[in-house]
Amino acid sequence: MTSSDATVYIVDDDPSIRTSLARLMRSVNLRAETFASAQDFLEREPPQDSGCVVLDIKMPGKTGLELQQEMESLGVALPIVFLSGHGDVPMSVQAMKHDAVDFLEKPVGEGDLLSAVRLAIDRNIQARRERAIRSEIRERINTLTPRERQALDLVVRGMITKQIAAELGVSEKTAKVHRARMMKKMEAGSVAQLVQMFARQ
Amino acid sequence: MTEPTLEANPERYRVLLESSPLVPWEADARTWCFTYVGPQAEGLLGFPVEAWYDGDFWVQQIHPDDREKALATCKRLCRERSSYQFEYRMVRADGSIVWICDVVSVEMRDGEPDVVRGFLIDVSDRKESEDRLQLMADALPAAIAYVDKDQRYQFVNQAYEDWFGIPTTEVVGKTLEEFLGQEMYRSLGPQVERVLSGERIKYRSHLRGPDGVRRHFDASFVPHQERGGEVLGYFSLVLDSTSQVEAEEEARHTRDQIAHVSRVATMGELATSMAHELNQPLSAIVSNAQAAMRFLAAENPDPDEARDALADIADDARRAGDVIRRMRSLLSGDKPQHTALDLNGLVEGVAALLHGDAISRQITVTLELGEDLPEVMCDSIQVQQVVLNLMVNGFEAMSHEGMEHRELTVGTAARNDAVEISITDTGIGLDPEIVEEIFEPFVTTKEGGMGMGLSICRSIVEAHDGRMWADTGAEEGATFHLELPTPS
Repeated sequence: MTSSDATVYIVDDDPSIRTSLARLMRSVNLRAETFASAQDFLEREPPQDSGCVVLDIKMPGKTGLELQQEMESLGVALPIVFLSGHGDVPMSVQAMKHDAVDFLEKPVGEGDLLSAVRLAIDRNIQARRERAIRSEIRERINTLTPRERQALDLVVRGMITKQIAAELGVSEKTAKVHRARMMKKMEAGSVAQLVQMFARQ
Repeated sequence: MTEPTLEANPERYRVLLESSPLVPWEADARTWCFTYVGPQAEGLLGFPVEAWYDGDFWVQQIHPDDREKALATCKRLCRERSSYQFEYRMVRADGSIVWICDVVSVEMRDGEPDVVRGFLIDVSDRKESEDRLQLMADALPAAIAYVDKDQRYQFVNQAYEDWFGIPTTEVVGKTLEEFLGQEMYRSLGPQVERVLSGERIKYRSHLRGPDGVRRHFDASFVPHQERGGEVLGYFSLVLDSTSQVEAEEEARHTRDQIAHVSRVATMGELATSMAHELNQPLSAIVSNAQAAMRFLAAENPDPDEARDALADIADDARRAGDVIRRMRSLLSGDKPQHTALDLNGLVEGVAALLHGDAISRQITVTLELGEDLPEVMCDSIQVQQVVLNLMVNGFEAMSHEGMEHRELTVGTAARNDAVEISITDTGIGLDPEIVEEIFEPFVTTKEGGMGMGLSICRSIVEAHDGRMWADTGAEEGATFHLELPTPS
């Protein structure tokens, strides 16, 4: 997945800002979608592509900050770059606390917006990758039998086969089979890898 | 009946003559020596009747200041006319003065005046009341005149001498045109014609006095009409209103300056909002410029996109220019200039100026502009200031914590001979008890407010012959109205 597949969602009440930002995004081969209000954006189908939101903080109706909170509660995991008309410290603090990528003052200097957008997209791609891996791991775990699941927990706690057998009340040989099947299903080459996967999800 | 009886009895003539308050006399037209005086003569001057028959008694008793003129008049008129009358002063035995009206008839012999006869009438009372009238007229701080139907001054007071530097005695008898000069007479002419046709006139004008100083005056002309309606002349009362007009001008100037200062202050408060309005087009310009450069520098350049970007840059630059022009027009000029104004355009301009402020306060601004509004003659900047002030006031009334409904409606509508602008907010509303007071200076409902805004607004509107009022909503909000007259 590369940033050129990404879409930038531009939410601003000012039509010439929308047009110019969309054009700027196209000039660096990013797709752009524009929305005249927070409401318009929320009414759109939740985006599937990677990307980020460029959001005007001051808009009639719902403000940028309100949209940020709503996206959070709806689980729309798109990083946000805020644009503001003039430096407003309390607003920027609140925006950054809620994990905004950046808070830029209009007019945004050469390159600042694009690097913020790139950073946001990278972060989104990273997060999506992370999410993909986590769900993969979760799926692998779901294929385990109850015994194998127990073996997983015990291995992760650092037990060797003998201890596992004692813990499960089975023979050492049986324990070895559970452990080996579990390692295979989890596609873990080593205990270290398994622990890493376990920690991630 | 009685006539023949009277004729037949000369004694009755004598009784009638000598019991009248008029003093009968007869004199030699060559020497001015009395040949007869009635017995009432003693009462007139306090000298015994015999004294009157002394050779030059009459000449001697004429007041020294009037003597020469009286004799000259008398000598001249008795050759020209068979009867005449003239007035002069005489000195009594006790040294006091009596005003005489002398009514004379002349008897000629061989083409020369021979005998003169007549009556001396004591007109001191009349002269005194004329003097009192003159005194009163002279003491008034106004120019008073009586002009006859031939447009000749018959009476003027001292003010004519003071204003024009010409003795009142020389003004009387002159025509308006002779006295005022052609130029001034031309501007006055139509008014004079109207008053002489029986109309009462009041007007205000100005002229440059002989000292070159511009003087303002208020004039009123009252026709003097006979019972039948024929106009005999008119009274003219002219008040020098220069100091009043100057005071009014100064007050107007001060008001314009206050308006200007308050406008600058308002603009200062709006600086943030203005910055937002400028930032929008500037941001768009920066983004478009960056995009255009990239489209042109790309491996496969896209000149179409670049051209679109440049076109948008031009539009946004114009938009930024508009913002600056609007700001500058509000900040510049403390001298009002009345021009024909489209109030819809004006309202839209002010709303655009406040766009940023409205957004940051989460206020929806709705314009309900009437169609086919007539133009009004107003100073654009001052009217913008009023609308700006009222809109900002509305904003502030809705900017309290927890106010959910924030809507400001600006409406325009044509009224009878006027255009109304109304500004309605959904804020805290007005206490009905102070609805009238809020236009007074230093009355405010805002914390930290100076209470000048509305009083300045009202004085601006009233200077445009308009009016302004407020009313409060039933449940929330307030409406401010201003009405500006359309030119008739």
